[in-house]
Amino acid sequence: MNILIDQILNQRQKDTLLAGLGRDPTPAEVAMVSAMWSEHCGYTHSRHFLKTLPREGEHVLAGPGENAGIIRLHDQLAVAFKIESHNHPSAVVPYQGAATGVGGILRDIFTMGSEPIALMNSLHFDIRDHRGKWIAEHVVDGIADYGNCTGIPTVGGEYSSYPWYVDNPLVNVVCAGLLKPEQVLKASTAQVGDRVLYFGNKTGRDGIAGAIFASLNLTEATREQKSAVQVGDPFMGKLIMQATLELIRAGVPSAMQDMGAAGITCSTSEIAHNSGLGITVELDAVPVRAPGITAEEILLSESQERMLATVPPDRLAQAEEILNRYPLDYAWIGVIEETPDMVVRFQNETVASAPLDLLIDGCPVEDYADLTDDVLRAGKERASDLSGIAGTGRPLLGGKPSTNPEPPTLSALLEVYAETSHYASARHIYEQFDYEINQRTLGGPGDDHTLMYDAASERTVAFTLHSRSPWTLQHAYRGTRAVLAAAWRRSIAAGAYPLGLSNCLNYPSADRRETMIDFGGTTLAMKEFCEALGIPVTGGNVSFYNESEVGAIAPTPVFVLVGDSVLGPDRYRYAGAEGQLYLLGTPDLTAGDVYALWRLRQDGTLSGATVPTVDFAQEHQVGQALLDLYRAYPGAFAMRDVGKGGVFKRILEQFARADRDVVLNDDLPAALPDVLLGEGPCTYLLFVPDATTLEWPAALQAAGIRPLGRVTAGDGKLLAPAVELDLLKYRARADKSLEPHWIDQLELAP
Amino acid sequence: MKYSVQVKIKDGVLDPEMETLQRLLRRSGVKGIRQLTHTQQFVLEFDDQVDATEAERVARTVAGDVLANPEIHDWTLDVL
Amino acid sequence: MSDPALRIAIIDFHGTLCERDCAAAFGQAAHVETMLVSSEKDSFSGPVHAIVVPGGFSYGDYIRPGAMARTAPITRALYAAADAGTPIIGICNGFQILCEIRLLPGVLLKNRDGRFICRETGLRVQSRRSPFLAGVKPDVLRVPIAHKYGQYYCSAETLAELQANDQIALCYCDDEGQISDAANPNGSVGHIAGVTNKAGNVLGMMPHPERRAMPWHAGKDGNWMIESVCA
Repeated sequence: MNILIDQILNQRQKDTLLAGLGRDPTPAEVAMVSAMWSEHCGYTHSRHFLKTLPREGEHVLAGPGENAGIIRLHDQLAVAFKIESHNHPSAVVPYQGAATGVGGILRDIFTMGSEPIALMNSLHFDIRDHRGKWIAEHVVDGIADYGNCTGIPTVGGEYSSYPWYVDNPLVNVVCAGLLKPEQVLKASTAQVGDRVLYFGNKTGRDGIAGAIFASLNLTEATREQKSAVQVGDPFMGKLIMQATLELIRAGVPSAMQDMGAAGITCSTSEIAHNSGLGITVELDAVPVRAPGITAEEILLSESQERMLATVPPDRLAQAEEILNRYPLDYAWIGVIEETPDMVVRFQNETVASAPLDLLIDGCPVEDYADLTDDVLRAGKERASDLSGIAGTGRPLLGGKPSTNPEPPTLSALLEVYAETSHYASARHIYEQFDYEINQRTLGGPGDDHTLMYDAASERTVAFTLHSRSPWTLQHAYRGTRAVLAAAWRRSIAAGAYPLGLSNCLNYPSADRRETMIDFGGTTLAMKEFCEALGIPVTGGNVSFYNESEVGAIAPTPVFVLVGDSVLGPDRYRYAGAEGQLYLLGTPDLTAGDVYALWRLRQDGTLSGATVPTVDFAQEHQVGQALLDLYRAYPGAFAMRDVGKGGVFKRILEQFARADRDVVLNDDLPAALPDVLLGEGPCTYLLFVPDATTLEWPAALQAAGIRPLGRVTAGDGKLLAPAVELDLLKYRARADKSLEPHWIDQLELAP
Repeated sequence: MKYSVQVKIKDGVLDPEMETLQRLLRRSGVKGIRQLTHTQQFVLEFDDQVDATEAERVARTVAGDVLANPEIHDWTLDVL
Repeated sequence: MSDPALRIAIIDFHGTLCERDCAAAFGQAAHVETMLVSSEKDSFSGPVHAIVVPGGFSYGDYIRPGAMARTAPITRALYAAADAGTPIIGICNGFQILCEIRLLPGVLLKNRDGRFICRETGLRVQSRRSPFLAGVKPDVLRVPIAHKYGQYYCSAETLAELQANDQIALCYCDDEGQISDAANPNGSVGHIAGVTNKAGNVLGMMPHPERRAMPWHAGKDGNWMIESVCA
């Protein structure tokens, strides 16, 4: 561990600590500072950019700095939601890394007093080789086992496989919970004299220095540091969830915080500091499971399934009465003080006594004043030159360029579509998740939209999760704008004006200027999006250092949008009707990810690929008009955003039936490959059954909505001028699911 | 008193984990393993006051009722 | 209670997950009153019309799914109720528990391919001796499974006995109602999805009828079973 501290505490941090204390620090103080001033807890590199993001809004009940953001959906209902990365642990020990990620995000949500209703995940691997498949399978298994065992449905997600994730898979997990607006419990409302309650699992040596671990590049050396990965216990996770919600409903705690990164150190110091007070912690009272454990180890342990609360003196008996009914450990480990210091005692000695201002706000942060908005907008263009990006620079298949003509033919593109795992049915993943428990799932995995129903208020909450690494790799600023617009369109198609944005920003090493230009470009795009559409950022997570000896990941910001949906149990579900297809917007093949994949297979670059240029005001206008249309004709028509896999994927998923043909019109708005596999601003596909008569609002007419073709009686074909495609064949290939891609064929053989 | 309860899957009942492990081993070049089985061992340590007869009776009950399911398991009890 | 409400007890072990779903689904009719009963209790404190042992991960599935339930006080009350002929249903983990406490024959092993499966399945009703199935009109129900340990297993002798005594209640089938290997999601012996005890009053099944029962659910086949026992 000493080696790790030396790696983390740089000269500037050491100087700041000495000046702040006015004396030499104790070992416990060094331990605490090493964790609190790491990127993971202290946002040392990202704070400069994150502080520019809009975080206020009439719907915001809790924002960044709390365990999770909370948005008021309507008078009766608020939603807490957050996304967090568990990339580094998942790369080393995929099953436990992913499982504890789920455990951590669940605790963030119920700590705020909300009842978790949904888990989601954003998973990115490189599954070309055995190790990649192994990681993917175990990550899914870990997520499934933890989520399933706690009884929270895993209802949606996204998956991709790109070469830049070869050594650094991304495992981002999302949790959302519901609560009444007046039930919000924060981590900033402790009072002087409140006792500090610890409950859950005992503290052991697992996960020591985990927060520091997440702030280091993965090298052979760190891969050996397996002690930094915690072991999850979903049964205990479920018990502390029940106990926490019961304590909160009984009005017992004055503030609550879960023990995540940097365990006791982070939770005790932040709950006191955020309340504007101080704290004394008695480490001897902490339930421990490792004999001979030191003060530093207790302070930094990241043992899972532990909670911290502050309880007013007149409520202690009530807290004990509730906790005694659960088979878990609890202890009173300190008291909230007036003096804003953190004092730690162990074996009759004061082992640390530091001002909380120093410990939390004193963290020296990097300043990037030279990275002005102009610099960030110019950014770094990468398309033909992907140097430094892992797994690129040579053709993905076979190692030598194919002889495909350029621009690619439709059949060459459809071959990519059918052969890569991106457009296969994700059934192999999501069937391992219990997505129906709790009876709320209106739209789950495999459905068009992710929709959760609240029977008490008879309202639907829509969740959108989106990332597009080929775009953000080409250009971080323009790419992020395009990802956000695409996420917006997904939310609109799910019937919801987004009310809040959470984000997980996955980037390579923060020590390189290029990374920070990308990072700043992303946050600038987020700021523009949020300001243009009036959507606040309610929280987020930053994961730097996703790179290894073979190169860096593509910058991968992942976004979550939440909104109150106009869709309900009576929403339109396609069941074989004939009708008319309409297209909004003009798709461009080179902006779609099928083209990007074709190009990567061709020569390992993104040469010729483009990022859609989006105008948020225009997206807003079209989105509002579409929501009005949903309201005007409830349950009468279907709408999808045109995203990954283009119009073709939507046609395949919805209309590929043995008794139906899809017949495209002669006068298409663009060439057939563009229409079928492209993407663009404001692009949506609508299906209006013959039984429905719609009148297009003026805004949609102005936006250029036009008939694309018909779904009609037939035998499973897509018919376009001079082209006939067997939809059933493509559907069957997609339905074979991911298994052939994921599972080693040898493993399946008897 | 200390007892060891060994619980193993009965012959003929599928153990998917061991089947998979065997396949993986075979693929990685390990040859000659005819069968791979997996036994769980539980150790029951009794208070000093409990006499041997009573301890063995309790150990047998716990083994047969909770630790093993006779439908799929064979189990043995040994004094340690 | 002075009203003639049917009381349905729903048992809640530590780690049980589907108790509220079951309470919502079984409690839909006005004349039904559901009550959660902690597994730490050793009685139902009063007469009950039927008992539901819901799904979940009781005691974290430690040792084996359902195995630890044998140590819970409520088990004694379950034995008494089963002897008295009270209708009892175990769903998913509840089925595993009823097998482990030997109220039902057989055992649930890990799925054939070793993975958790969440998927809608077809169920062919093979016997209507259980009060939960007596009033089910269709021969095929569509209800989802969600389990990792759902492969029903019993010895050949037990299987013969089950057949002879008409104890096989539900089998997995395809959309057309055909029972086949392809329609068997987890490798269960005899394609069995649900069995009863010899008397017929205790039923265990892996699929979740309570997930096809609420007004906002697209499919409502689970209501057949709920209405059957509440009639």
